[in-house]
Amino acid sequence: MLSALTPKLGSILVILFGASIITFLFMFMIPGDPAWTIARGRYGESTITPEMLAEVRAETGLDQPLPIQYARWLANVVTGDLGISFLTKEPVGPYLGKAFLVTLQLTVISLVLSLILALPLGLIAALKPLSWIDTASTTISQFGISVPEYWLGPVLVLIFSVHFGVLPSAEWGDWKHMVLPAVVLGFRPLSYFTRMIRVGLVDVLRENYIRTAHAKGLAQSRVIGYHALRNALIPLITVVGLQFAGLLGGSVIVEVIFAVPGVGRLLYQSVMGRDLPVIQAGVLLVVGAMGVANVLADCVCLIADPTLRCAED
Amino acid sequence: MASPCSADPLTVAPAAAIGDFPPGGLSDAIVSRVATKSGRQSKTFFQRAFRTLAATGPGTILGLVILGLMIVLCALAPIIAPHDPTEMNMLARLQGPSWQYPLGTDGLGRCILTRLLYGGQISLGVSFLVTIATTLIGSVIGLASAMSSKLVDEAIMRFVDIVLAFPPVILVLVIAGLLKPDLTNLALALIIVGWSPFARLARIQAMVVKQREFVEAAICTGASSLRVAFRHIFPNVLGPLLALSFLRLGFALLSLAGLSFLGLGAQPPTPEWGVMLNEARRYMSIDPLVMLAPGATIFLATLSVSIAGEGLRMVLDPTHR
Repeated sequence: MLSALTPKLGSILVILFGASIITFLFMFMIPGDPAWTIARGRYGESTITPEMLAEVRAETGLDQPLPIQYARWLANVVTGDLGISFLTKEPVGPYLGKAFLVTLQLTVISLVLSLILALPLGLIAALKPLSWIDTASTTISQFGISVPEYWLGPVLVLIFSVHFGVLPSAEWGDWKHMVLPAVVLGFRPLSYFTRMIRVGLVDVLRENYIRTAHAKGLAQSRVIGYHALRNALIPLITVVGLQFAGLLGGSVIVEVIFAVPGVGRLLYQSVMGRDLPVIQAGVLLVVGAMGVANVLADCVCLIADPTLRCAED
Repeated sequence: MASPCSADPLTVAPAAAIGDFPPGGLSDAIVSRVATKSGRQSKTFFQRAFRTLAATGPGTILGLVILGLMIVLCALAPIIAPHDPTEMNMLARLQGPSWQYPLGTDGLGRCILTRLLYGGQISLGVSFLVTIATTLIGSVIGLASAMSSKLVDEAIMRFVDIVLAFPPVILVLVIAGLLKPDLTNLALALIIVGWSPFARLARIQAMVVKQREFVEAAICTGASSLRVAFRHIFPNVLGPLLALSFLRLGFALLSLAGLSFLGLGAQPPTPEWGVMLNEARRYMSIDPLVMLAPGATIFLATLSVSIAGEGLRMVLDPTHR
């Protein structure tokens, strides 16, 4: 099983290496002198002197050639030194970690919610293809893919916070704060999962072993629930992995709307405040987490589907 | 039309599908519907196209019609809009629908309908431009990769993998935000991020087509690799690329308005759908309509693009049936 994962792990390391180069180059995307940007971030705009700029250049290595700068930066990142935030003057690592945990929590909750809903929706749609209920489930998933979360969010706030007053509209704390953002975030995965389950089941139900199961007199519930579902859910694992990765990096807007203190909102604030160390560390963290999610999904696939393991041996 | 390599994708795709898929099941039901309906003798290209699209379900045509209608209405904004998009009427703030203001007014007393019509010129227009640019750039890079030596091909594709490893919204956010938040930079960021899926698809498809006899024949007749790529391979990979570009148009629409909503794109008082939505948030609890109208417009545009895109993909992209 490990041998099946080795090439994947290798390619993810290559991707991470490449991503770190791009992330490093973010510094030069800000118009003007990077040393000036850093000096402004540290000491404020009005107090910058040429001596300060020279000091910053020497300290950050901006006077050195690019590859050496990159190597120094990468060495710092790998050893856990993510730099000091321009805005809060604190080390980036700890509070980036805290924000990441919040995003992770939110992601897991919305994935679980959407999976719980998608199973019956996809199941019913697959059992009665092209019926009204199938059409309804397709329509729901179309809606889920197209609805802008920056509209759905405020609309739900309007209904549940302003009108009924049952759920808080922002901030983060107990479970009540998680409901609305998790529902809004879960809409898109719900759509993909429903489709995936339906397509997978429709394909599997055509297989000979399903006919055999019916023929030997098994109850419909056992044929569907045990024989069909087991195989139909394997393609779903990959999609769950992809959506998991997608949510980790795609919750910016929802986090901003609901004032969730996650990585997305932190990155948004850092971009608005030109807080370069936080931006670089945050983007790298998200890319890395997405890579890990990817590998995890592959592991689960290998465990769930023995034919994949055989193919490798 | 006469040469075999530039055959009309609308007719080629369903015909190829008949042999590939046994009857039965959901997706095949659609495929066979496509096949039987488009199999009839039709007179013009448009009739053929219409029949093929209609066979994928009522949604495809409906989506295209709604999208077309939105484009026409927004393009005609200077003629049909009842007011000026930035004209403020402080005496008529946050009004409900009336004959004077069909969709009411926003927090600064501006006509919402007018702003939606003008806003569409930016939201739809820039999304289309971004999508066209990403399709072209991605296709050229993908074709170049497929025609290059193994080493160059490998290098290009690794680079595509790296770009795809970034979460798109965050990459757009960082690029647009670090450059300087305005509409041009947001469009630029969307292009920088959006070309990679097209490159990957164009390369995969081109690799398949490259094996076909007519490409070999073209090479034998002494055609340059540039000519082989654009005259012989490109027309045959166009279908899936067009289908993908329609799906990516939805992403462009959503992220353009979404990042403008966050303050990274068009800046107030420009009438842009995302900007309107952001301005409306302040008055949400007093007057929900201010927020409902631009949101519903973005939703409708994305929905019709996505439904039509699904149908088009069924027709244009044989691999996704």
